[in-house]
Amino acid sequence: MVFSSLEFLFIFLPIFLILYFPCSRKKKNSLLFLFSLIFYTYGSIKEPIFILLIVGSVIINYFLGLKIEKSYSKKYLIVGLIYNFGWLFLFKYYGFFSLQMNQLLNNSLFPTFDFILPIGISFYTFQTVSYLIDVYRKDTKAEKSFIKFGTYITMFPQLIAGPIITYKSIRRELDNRKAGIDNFYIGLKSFIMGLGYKVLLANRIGSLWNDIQGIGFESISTPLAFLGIIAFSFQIYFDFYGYSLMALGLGKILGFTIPINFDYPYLSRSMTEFWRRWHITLGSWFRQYVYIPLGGNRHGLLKTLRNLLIVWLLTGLWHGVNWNFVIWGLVTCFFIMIEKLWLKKFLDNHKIFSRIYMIALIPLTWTIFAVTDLKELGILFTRLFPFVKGINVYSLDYVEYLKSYGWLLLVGLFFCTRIPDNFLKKIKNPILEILVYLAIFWLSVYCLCREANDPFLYFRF
Amino acid sequence: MIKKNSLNFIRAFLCSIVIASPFLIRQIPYVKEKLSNGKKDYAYLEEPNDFPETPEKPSTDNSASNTNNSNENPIEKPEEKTLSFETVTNSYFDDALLIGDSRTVGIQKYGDLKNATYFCDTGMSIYNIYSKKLSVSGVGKVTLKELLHKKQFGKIYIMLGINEIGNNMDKSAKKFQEVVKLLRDSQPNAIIFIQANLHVTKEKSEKGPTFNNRRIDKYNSKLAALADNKNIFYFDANSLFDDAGGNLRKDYTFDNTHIYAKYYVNWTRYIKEHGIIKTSEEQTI
Repeated sequence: MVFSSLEFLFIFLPIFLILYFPCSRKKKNSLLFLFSLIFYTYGSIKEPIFILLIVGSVIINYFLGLKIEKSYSKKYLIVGLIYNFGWLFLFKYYGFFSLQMNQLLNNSLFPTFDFILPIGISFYTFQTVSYLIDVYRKDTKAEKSFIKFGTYITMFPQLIAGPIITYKSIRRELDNRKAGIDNFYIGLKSFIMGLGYKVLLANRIGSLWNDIQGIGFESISTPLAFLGIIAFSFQIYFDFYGYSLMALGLGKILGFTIPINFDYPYLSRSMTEFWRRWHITLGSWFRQYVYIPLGGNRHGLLKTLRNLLIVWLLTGLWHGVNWNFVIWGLVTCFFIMIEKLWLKKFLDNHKIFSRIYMIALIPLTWTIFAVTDLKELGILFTRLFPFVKGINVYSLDYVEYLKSYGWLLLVGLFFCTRIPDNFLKKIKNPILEILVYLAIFWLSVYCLCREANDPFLYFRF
Repeated sequence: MIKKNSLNFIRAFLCSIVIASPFLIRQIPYVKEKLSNGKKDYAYLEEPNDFPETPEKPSTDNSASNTNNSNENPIEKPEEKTLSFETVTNSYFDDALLIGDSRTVGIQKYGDLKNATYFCDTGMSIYNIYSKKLSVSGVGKVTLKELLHKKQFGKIYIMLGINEIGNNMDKSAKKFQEVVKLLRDSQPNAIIFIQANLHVTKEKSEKGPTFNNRRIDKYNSKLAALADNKNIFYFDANSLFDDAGGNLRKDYTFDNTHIYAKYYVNWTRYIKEHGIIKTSEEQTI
């Protein structure tokens, strides 16, 4: 069940909230835990084993946390890391790994399985691991209450797509939180904005990228290729930012402070800055649990570069299991490295250059991210930089796409800036504010209904 | 002060939900299914005879390859003077009109029949064909009837059906027949080519009750029956793009429905191999 679905908006969420608010403080956690499991079950109804997996993860990590706190022995931490990363590896990486190894060794030493990735496993694994490490480092106490621990891992606002929350940052709110009218109001506004980003921007701009894949990369004109990767850049941003905003809003409604995950990343003036402002909670996870333990930047330039390389290889692989993600991680790492060496200073001093640099770099790096088939990726790059002729290209294809998507792309660009948020904050008239948010909400719902009723809305022949 | 604003905001929001709830409940897929229990959305499901399991052809798998033969053969039988498909050059399409949905749009953009006239649009179906106003090169923005009124064509190709495949098939076929009649009446000299609807992939075909290749084949066979092989001809290009199972090849498409742009020339080549040339004598028939 995703937030931007009618079932979630009009069945699951209202029922949950009606039960949640009158509950006593203690029961609130139990209720949230229960509903989160229902939420998860609904989403993985075809794979009941996934529910066992997450429940098992909660139980094992709960006891491991307590054990670690008792002895502070590394043994339990290592068991925990193996357990958590083991499942992640099995479900996410094993298929790719076995395929590559078999190809490399030219035999079938590794049996191949076709696993479906359990929903949210990349996110909750990172949370459980951060918890165990924090307990081991004495950054936080272990959670004594099973319900509270379960609530932390599974709470549905962040269960399937983050943000990645550390236990230490939310610990106090698990005990005691305010879910008052003001929080409801703030949370509701965030949620509505997030819904709007997802439904009104991401979904619609995304269909341009979809169309281009339908034509086949070899047959698109160069302008259309650029339109396509720009569209993908907007789609991925509004999709993920929208989801994170909805999570944040839901959290607020329940009384939790879920960290912000995006801070106008497209306004960044360097790759380094971009990755501090995009998927912030993931970057901070890698910083806290990989980069700094490896020594960070405190052991000379070479080790710093090595640490960056490790972090970015892992970041690439976290996002997906294919060579393109490895390449994507390496390319991003390359730019962050040269920025670290000398470019960053130059970028900081040259406003216009830094903007052009990022306008070029953002869509081009997303291109590597977007196309998982390396051959296809290569074809797309030959269309972006047409040194090779395409096949059967209709050279004016971009004109009609500009006609139908041009204004949407402009709206997308506008919503990447701070202007819309500043405008919304400035609204002092409560009636106007209500009207604006109601319009966003109902327009989104209208689009969702149309999508649900008319499967051909974005798919006409 | 803030509290009051917050409260009003939430109240207004909840009010809007309460007001909308009677409409909303019906929109939720699960509820919708329950509500329409026994009363199906698609008209065709009400008609049992629309799904005869007794196949008209030996099996759907072979249908693609069969349709070519089975439909080319009758051309030669009923008439003494036989008209058969022959290969034509691009100039054949100087006075050709192609009518169709997004797949014809694909031919227009990615095929090599640039000299033809096109009246095609994404989402076009036999039901909205008259209401569409499209810009036709050299003519301007016109409806189909206006176009037919303004210009005479030597050949008219029509391929429609995939957008209305969810509707009652007999109704659609009847509508199709009306369109063909309109074409005949308004363009007495034109040879009319009805093209079979192209298949979707196995993956897509197996998913829904609506979009499956069995229904597409069945509809195609109804369209094939409209051909008289004197003035109206039918041909089926599915064999170009089908796999062994009679479904669109997976590696030919991204969206399971439309072929990649680079394959449209294969299709137009096939169209060119299926020209009909009438001698002046035959034209007077």
